[in-house]
Amino acid sequence: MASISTPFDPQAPAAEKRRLLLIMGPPTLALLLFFMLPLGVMALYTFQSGTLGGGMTWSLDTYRRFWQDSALHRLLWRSALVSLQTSLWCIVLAYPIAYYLVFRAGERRMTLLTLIIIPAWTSYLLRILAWKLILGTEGLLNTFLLWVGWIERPSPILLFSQTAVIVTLVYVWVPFVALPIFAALERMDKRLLEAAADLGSPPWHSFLRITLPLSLPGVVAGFLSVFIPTLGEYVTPLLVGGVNGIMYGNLIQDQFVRALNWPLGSLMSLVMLLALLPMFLLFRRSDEVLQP
Amino acid sequence: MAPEYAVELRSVSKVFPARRQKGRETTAVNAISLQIAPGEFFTLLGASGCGKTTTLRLIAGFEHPSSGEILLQGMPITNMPPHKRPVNTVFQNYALFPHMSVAQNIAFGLTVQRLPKAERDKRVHEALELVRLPDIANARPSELSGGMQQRVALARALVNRPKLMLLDEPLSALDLKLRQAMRLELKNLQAQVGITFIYVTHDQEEALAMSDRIAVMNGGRVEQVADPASIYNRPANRFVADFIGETNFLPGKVAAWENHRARLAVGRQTVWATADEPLPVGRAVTLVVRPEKVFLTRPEKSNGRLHLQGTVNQVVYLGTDTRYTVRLEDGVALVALARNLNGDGPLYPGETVHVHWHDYDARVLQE
Repeated sequence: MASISTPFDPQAPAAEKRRLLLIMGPPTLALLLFFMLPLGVMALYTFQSGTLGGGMTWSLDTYRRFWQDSALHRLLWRSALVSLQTSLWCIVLAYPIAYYLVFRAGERRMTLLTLIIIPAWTSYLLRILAWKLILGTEGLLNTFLLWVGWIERPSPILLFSQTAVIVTLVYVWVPFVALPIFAALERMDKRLLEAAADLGSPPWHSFLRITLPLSLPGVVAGFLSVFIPTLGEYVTPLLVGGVNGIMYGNLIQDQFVRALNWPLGSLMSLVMLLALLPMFLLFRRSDEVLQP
Repeated sequence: MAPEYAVELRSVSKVFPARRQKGRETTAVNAISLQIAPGEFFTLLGASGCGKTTTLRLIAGFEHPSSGEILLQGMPITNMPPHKRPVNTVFQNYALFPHMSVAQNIAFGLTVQRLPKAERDKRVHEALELVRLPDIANARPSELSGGMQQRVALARALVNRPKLMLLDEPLSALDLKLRQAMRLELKNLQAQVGITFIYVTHDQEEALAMSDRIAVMNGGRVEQVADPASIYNRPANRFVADFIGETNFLPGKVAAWENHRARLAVGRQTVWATADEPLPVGRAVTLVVRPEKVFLTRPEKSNGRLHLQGTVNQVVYLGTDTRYTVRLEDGVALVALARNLNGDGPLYPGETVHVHWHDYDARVLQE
């Protein structure tokens, strides 16, 4: 808190105070205006009930309704599981990529890293639609499976399922997990591995005792950078999820756009935000424990 | 039969391939042969880029030689991976594991060997006592000073009771006072544990103070291997003479050779110098003499010995010594270092002096 109170320190010279206000002022203002204020408005909405345009009244009905609707809770839980699976698969796939880039790719590493990032420059929607083409009944995967003779007629179950959502999300997010792991491995002092080998440690043992623990901050950062945004995901389930792939985010969108029940939509959003708070604590804690 | 050498290098070379298309391949180590006796404190001394660290890395197993053989106690280990060699290294930057406590760092090698916990704890404790840091077992390396980290790195290597310990400029990151104290401590420690040490440094003073033998390296080759006094007093060639300490090089011509002594003509005068090999009269050679072995006397006090004549050019007072630069008759500059004892008193710039030395303190280098 000390640094925040500096501008109001009575002993600070006036010029110093002005300078700090000039630097801190605009971002603080923007944060208040475009982030805290809307969040407050949203919180206010939760204490109302009724539909937009159909008369709103102050009440706790929305809370009661959310509390009693177990389908909503189940969906939030299921969405969390989808996000969790997505994040874990991303780590499983991204770790070897990052490891290869840092330890094996040599002079090609920057080229390869760029190649991994370039797809992320194309439209998010386009990348999801590409998976629709791959997974659809007329798609690449079905055609291939037909060709090798594993199935006899195109299977529609590949698309419009929770698996399709996870596959697509994993594809979209892998580069964003590979980057922090890459950074963590890159930052690691490689001489530590020589020291470990020198002390008799075979390569796999060095990986488990040195490389993996030292790259964990990157892994945790990667995990959170996928888990947090995918929990509120609604575009991907909409396009490739079908009825079974629906996520919590889709229902929030429904409340705002179709049911026009902004109070419930606001409450659902706030609940999700609160559900993510422990994640931030996990991140801070891991930083403290793992940072030497 | 007990092996004669702790370590033996037989004509070991290391060539690094060219980086990208432009670069040229570099020969870091060029056909080096060394024999290091058990229990010896052996130093590889040289400027940066001379191949000393590469030699150490070849012995540790981090690099594999392009040609030649490395033997540890008579066993070939040339291509053995580092984790299988009974050799431990103290790294220049210590390379302590930042996510482990001091005790975990030291126990690392013992954990790999799957030693029982009780035995492990006992040896970690002993190692910490040995490096005189008994109370920091639970600290993280980042909480320690450079000197303490250095001791932990030492303990981490010593605890494994290796056949051979490699030390890569372990003192270079410490400040001068600590470095000088650690020299003595390291030397005593080595005598105490009796492990063969191979020590890499660019600091000649460090090498002279600690080593049983020194290998002076230059351009991937070993220029001379000898004990510190021989390296200093009987340098094998111009490079060694120049690298270790300060030296005067004087061009001369052989006037006579008899009984391991040569009379040399330097300018218009002649002086005596030691020369082990017979030299033909008229051969152009270089005379080498250390500044502190050079005496300067006023002409009236010269006792008729063979001498060179010159003029005092510069006088620098250094406390214990005075450093004189003398210009000889033929224009060659010579440095003399004189102890400031109660004697004749200082010489002054512009004075004419006679320059002489004991025959055995000046040596002839053939080039």
